Amino acid sequence: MDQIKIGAFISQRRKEKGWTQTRLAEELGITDKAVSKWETGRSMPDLSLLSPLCTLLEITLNELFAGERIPEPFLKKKADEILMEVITNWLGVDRCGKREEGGAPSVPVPVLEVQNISKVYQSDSGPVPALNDVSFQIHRGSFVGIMGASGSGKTTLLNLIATIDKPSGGAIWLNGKNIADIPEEDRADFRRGHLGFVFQEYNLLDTLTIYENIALALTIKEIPRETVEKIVLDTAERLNISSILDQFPYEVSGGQRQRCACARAIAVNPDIILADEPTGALDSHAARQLLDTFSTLCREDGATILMVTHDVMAASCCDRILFMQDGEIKAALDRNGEDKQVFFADILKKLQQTEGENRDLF
Amino acid sequence: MIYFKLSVRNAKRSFANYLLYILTTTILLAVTEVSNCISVVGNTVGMQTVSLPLLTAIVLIILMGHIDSFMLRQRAKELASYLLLGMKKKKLIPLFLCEILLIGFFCFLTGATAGFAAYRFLGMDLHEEISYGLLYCKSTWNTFICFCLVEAVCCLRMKQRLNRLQIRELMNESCRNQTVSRQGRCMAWGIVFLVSFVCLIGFVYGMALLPENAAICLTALVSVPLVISVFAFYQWLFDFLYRYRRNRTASVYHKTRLYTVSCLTADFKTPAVVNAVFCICFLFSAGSFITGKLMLQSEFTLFEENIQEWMGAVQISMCIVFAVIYFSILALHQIMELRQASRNHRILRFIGVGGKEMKTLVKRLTAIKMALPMLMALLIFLFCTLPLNRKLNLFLPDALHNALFRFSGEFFLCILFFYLCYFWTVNAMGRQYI
Repeated sequence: MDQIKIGAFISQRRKEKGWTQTRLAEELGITDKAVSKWETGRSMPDLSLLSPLCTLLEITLNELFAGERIPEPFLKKKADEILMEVITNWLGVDRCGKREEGGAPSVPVPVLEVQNISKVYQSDSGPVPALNDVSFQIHRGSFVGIMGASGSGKTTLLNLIATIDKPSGGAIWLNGKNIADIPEEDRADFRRGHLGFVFQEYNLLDTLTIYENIALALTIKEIPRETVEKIVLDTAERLNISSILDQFPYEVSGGQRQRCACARAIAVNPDIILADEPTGALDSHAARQLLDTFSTLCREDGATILMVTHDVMAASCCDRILFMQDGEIKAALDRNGEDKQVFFADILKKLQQTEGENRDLF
Repeated sequence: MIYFKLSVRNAKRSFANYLLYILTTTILLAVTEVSNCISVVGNTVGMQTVSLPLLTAIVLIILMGHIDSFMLRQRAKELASYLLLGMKKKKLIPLFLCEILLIGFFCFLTGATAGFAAYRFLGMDLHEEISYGLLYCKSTWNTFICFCLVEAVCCLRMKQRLNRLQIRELMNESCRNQTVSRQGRCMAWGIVFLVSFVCLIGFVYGMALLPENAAICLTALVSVPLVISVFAFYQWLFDFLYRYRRNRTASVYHKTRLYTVSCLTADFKTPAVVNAVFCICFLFSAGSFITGKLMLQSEFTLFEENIQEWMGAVQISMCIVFAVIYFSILALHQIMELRQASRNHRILRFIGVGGKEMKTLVKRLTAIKMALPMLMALLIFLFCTLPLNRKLNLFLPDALHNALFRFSGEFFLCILFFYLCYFWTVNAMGRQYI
């Protein structure tokens, strides 16, 4: 990938459209300096800006990465190769890839079924709808992602499934039980027995060591005390945190903390793990490690994960993506055994498409 | 200017933490003022009562040091931010210490006034030769000297600590924890405790059974094994709990027991010293109550009637004073800890601890933390009351036989009343953080 060539191409396309650097920067909501840096090859546009930049310059993503127009059909193939190379470099080797035979049940069994869920918050200015008629299914052993802009209702949906909030209408079936009907006093028991959580801010107890943080979840679930140590050590080994078990959360890195949070969630063997932007506070390397862990858990242990994310790279590890907008599920994308790189490109296209549709509305 | 604005904004944000600091310091200084009033009046009538304010000053230094550490932990991130913004440590340390001193001075004014008002309210009037104005001046001056001494010691310690801490350490100060290296000390503290406690029991039995001359020597020395055994007991107890937790003993993995033990042993520096100080306060409170009650008995004559009555009233007042120090500061500390633990409560909810269980857990923790300093005091009472009562029976009139048992019982009933009131208050105020 030739950064200088890409910069020159951006500059050329901008000039062809008769725009100044300021105009382009304004359209993208960034500074002139950033545009100047791209054009001189000193930096590359952020991931979130690739799609709007292509739209504004009326080029494809392939053309942007190739750093030139691709008028002929045979060149399109070459550009696709370049795109794959770029994405492979960035995403890393797909270790999870396609599911092995027998890794997942042949007949998909739904673990979670959300039926026509709606949520309306009352405010001073009147009712504010947060979710509107949301329905989907998640099968055992699948890794599902929810993507959407801020305020699209992702976290509200996660809170409803986590039994932290109650829906205004509809039903949420988890292993055949409607969780909307569970009385307030029994919800903690339900969370203890069926749900695991991984948060962006790790949410580990500072007063406990990494070992104790994992063990606490087991003791609260009343797992026989003699087996606690074995489960903790096994889980830690699987997540590669055995060496830091005696340390306190503040003594380890963000990635290790998040893997500890992940170990705490999986140690209790929940029906579903709910992850709220788990890679949000991690660098790309730690994020990739965590996502690999999630994928391995799904593939090898049949864990079911529902992950809310903004990050396309994180989403590309999922089996299925639900795109949310204004409290509704606007689109869904299945991986269907494709490579991570291809799925990544598909997600970008879908995002571009969804944003385009949204722009057309206004 | 930007530092000032930042400081004001942060002060507003950490108002609740300052509230703890202000209330604790005010209570402690009010207590010092009462002791100084008693001391001044005692001196006027020719009694030697200087030990009382001295003792209060020592308690004050230890507890203020603890509260200062608490404040530092609360504000460590903010201080680290100042350093990151480019402020030099040379400038930051005086700024922080000035802030503490200014608040301390405000507490001194409030505490001294409140203490003097409390003294007048208690109505211990044995000072016709001394006017209230003069008494206020003298006692407030003594309290001021005590305040300056305490602040100087605390500021020096704080300065040393701030000088030592680097930005990275300041950033993590609020979640720092017990270090693993403490594990080896458990056995050593256990031996110190056992030896000093056996000495204490030996001294007490010696006081009860040996002839007068030998008993007097033992009485003069008994406070040494008493203080050592109290300190050693709490050091051993916290080290033992820490080891119990870190050794991954199977029994700790039962429901919320692990969380309870971790809350007791989580502090960066174990609360062993503070518990020992509270325990000594409690023992002084008990001693004052029993002596005061004895002085107020008409069958027992040791001094002139009005002087004995005054001494009795003073002793009972001191009992109340130490009980108030004990419970007020402990209760305030509990409320602050509950506020800080609200994040932990949220996490526990997520991992499946129900609302009812959470309330029980918090109540249990509060009950343990408020009763922990009494544990050693109870042990001492259990072993020492019998021989001391026997000794007292030898020179008390028949009507006052077994007075020590009776007064101890009354004292424990009073303490139980205090305990339940403060426990209820902490639970009521802490409910919002669960």
